[in-house]
Amino acid sequence: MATFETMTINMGPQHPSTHGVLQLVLELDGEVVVKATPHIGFLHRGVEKLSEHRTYHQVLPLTDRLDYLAPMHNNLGYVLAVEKLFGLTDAIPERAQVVRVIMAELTRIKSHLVWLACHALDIGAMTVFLYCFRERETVMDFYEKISGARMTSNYFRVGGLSADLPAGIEQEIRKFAQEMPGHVETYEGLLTGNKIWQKRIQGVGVISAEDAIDLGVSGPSLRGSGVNWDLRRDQPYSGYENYDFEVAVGDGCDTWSRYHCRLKELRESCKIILQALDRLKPGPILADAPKVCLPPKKDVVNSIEGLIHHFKIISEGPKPEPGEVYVGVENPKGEVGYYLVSDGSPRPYRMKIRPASFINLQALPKMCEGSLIADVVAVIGTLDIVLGEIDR
Amino acid sequence: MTELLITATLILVKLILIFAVVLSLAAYMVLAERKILGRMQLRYGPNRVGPFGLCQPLADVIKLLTKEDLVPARADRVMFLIAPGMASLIALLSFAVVPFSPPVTLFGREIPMVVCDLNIGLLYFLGLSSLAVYSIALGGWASNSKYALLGAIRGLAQLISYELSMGLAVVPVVLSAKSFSLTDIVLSQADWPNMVRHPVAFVIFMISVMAESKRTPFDLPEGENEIVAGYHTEYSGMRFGLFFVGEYINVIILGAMVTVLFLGGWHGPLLPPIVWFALKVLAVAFCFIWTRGTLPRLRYDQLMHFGWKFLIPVALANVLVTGAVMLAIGS
Amino acid sequence: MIASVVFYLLAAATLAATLLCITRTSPVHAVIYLVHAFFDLALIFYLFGAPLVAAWEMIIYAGAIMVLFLFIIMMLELAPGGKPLTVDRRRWIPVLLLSLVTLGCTVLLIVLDPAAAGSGAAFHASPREFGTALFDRYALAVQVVSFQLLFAAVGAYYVGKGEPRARGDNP
Repeated sequence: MATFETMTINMGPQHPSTHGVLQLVLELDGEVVVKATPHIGFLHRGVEKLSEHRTYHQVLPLTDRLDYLAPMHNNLGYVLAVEKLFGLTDAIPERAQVVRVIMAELTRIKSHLVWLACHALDIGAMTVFLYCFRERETVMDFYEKISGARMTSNYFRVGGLSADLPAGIEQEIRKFAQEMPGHVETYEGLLTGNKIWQKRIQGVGVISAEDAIDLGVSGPSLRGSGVNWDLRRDQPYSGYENYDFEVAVGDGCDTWSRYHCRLKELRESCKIILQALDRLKPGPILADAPKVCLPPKKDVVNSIEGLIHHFKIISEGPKPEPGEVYVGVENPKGEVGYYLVSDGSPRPYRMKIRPASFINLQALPKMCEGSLIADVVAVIGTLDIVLGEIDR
Repeated sequence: MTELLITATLILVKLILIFAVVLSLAAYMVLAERKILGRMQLRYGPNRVGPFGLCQPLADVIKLLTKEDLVPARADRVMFLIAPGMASLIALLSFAVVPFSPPVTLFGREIPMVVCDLNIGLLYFLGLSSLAVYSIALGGWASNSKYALLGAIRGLAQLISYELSMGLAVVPVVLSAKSFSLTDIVLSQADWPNMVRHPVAFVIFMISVMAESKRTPFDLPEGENEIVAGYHTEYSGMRFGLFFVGEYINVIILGAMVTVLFLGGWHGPLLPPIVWFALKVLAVAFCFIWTRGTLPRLRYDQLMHFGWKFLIPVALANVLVTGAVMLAIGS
Repeated sequence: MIASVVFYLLAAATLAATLLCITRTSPVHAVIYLVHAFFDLALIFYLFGAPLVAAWEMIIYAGAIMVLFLFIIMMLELAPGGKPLTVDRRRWIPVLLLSLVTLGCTVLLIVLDPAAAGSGAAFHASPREFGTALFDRYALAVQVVSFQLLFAAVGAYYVGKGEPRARGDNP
């Protein structure tokens, strides 16, 4: 055939495997992708702008809705940034720190389970999807018991936690963390040894370490390319330096390597949770900073100081010193950072979010141009994007 | 003339019986698949309509019939409307040559339990299965949609490629039965099913048959995660239903062919022949469903490589070796 | 008697389908009519007592070669007609007529089974006899033809390889 005409198709925003409302404009030569252009913005809610009109406490619920598959980790990044702005970083009580780590790692498990489920489903392995969702449901139950909500938890607070853990939950979490590696074995049993699965993801979506760094890719997608970089270890926050865990790194640069990285992270998360549960001691859950932290309800109704602080915080909001901070945390999907600028008023002058998915998505054209249309689906899966975070 | 009439009536009765059985079986295959997959995936499957969800197929049909039958603008109307019917019809026609049990004697008359025992029954089946491509190709093309076209092209390439290995896999069977007639093939397996005698051919045939039925791991023409729904993206209502039912009729006919060619047809101890036949067909169908619950989907190029660079050479070698061995034994 | 009626019916249908095939503007429609002609031809072969040839007519011509035609047409992306949509019932007439003739003849053939009855069979060519003729009497001719096909296949491969495109070699 002498003609080199390409066919342009719209993949999404209504498409079974674009994970939400991502639109990809694909130029196809037969089944080979010549050019892939992501179009985003279908889920834009203006979180950054909205937060300029809210007090620092009121912004918190918005962060749940960024990466809605890992809400607590978003909360964590935000509260850490605000605490840094208020100079509270060292005042956070030990118990709150440990609970934050537990919840963050549960969140990582939850997010990675959705990744594995959808990735497998996109490649056609239907059963893994439901197996993963079974375990995810357990984590959801923990979420519900601890924060009252399954998805938009809004559990962390500036200075600590909104409430202590309910009685008995520690044993349940411990049991889950002990069983989880066995479940990972089950998923591996269905996938890792499967020739079709290997063929579908080995050598697919290759991105070199240099390209990944140049594009700003982070998280497991970066580590799958052999870059040993994990904020939990390299810029520890919330007491991560006290835990013994390995950073999963693969050097295959392909989907297969990223698959193994994430599976290893699932196992490492279980290890961290078990260690954190051992460190968990009774104690206060909120920093002793009454001008910043919302006082417990008991104090509000029983003491005059509590009532005044409550009134001040709710009606006006705590005022930080003018300045700017940036805090990045290792979200399940990559580095999520919050850049806060304060002009001394009770509201952020500017909040800029560095979303992991948005920046990882940049790598998509590079990873799938020249490959087949079926690989695009695998690449979307392996990048583990969430549209709530991309569009903000 | 009366003889002719009786023959015609008998064929008609058999046809109606087969239509009724196969169509209801296809409807319940859908239910069985949903149930079995559900159980494999920690779900219940449909269980609301009737006891154990047994009325679900009926509810599905009512739903599909009452849905709007959309024809996309600028579609090729005639072709678009005909294609789904073709899918089901061609699958149904294949049943004409499948022998279900040994001839039954009724009122002093020997009635063969097959609609039409062609002496080229096997070729008839292969011919029809090669025609099955048309419903996909035309349905996908006539929709005038890019995803449908992609699905149609994939379907064409896949079915053509795997027909070859399927055709080659049945050669050893024909060699040992010395006939193209399916009845003769079943009779030749009285002591050993061909599965034992020709294990390689059996495996190749099973794989090709799965590809032929467009089911996981070979469901590329309709791989929903890549090309939405492939060739039937634009179909709705009962026309989609026809494609869907056609797929399940196909599963049954292919299961029947596996049974006839490799599992010894109606042969089996204790139980009546027809029961054995049904059991074997259902066992093959279960394997299809099981595979769907377990395996991911191949990629287009991998599918082609597998078909052309592995299955067909192996099938050819198998034909050669079988032929040589049979010549040496002198059977 | 019935056999000759069936033959003339089928012959007429074949001719009509072929005529329709060469007068269609849409290549896909033409392909379909051609397939239909092959269908009728296969039935004629069957009527004449050559079921094997009939089956091969279906498998090879209708089932493989025409499918490849279709494949190429689709690859070239000749989308269905750009004409505005008019519901033209007359377009159904040739389709229905041809299908009815073919279906009717098929049913008749199944019921009559002329090959078995021996009536009207011009010559008898069971698979066995056909095979003997092909690989015994005309073995040399068959070999020569198959060598030619081999050359053609190699040539096609060479021409196809010349494309400067980096992609998996799709057959």
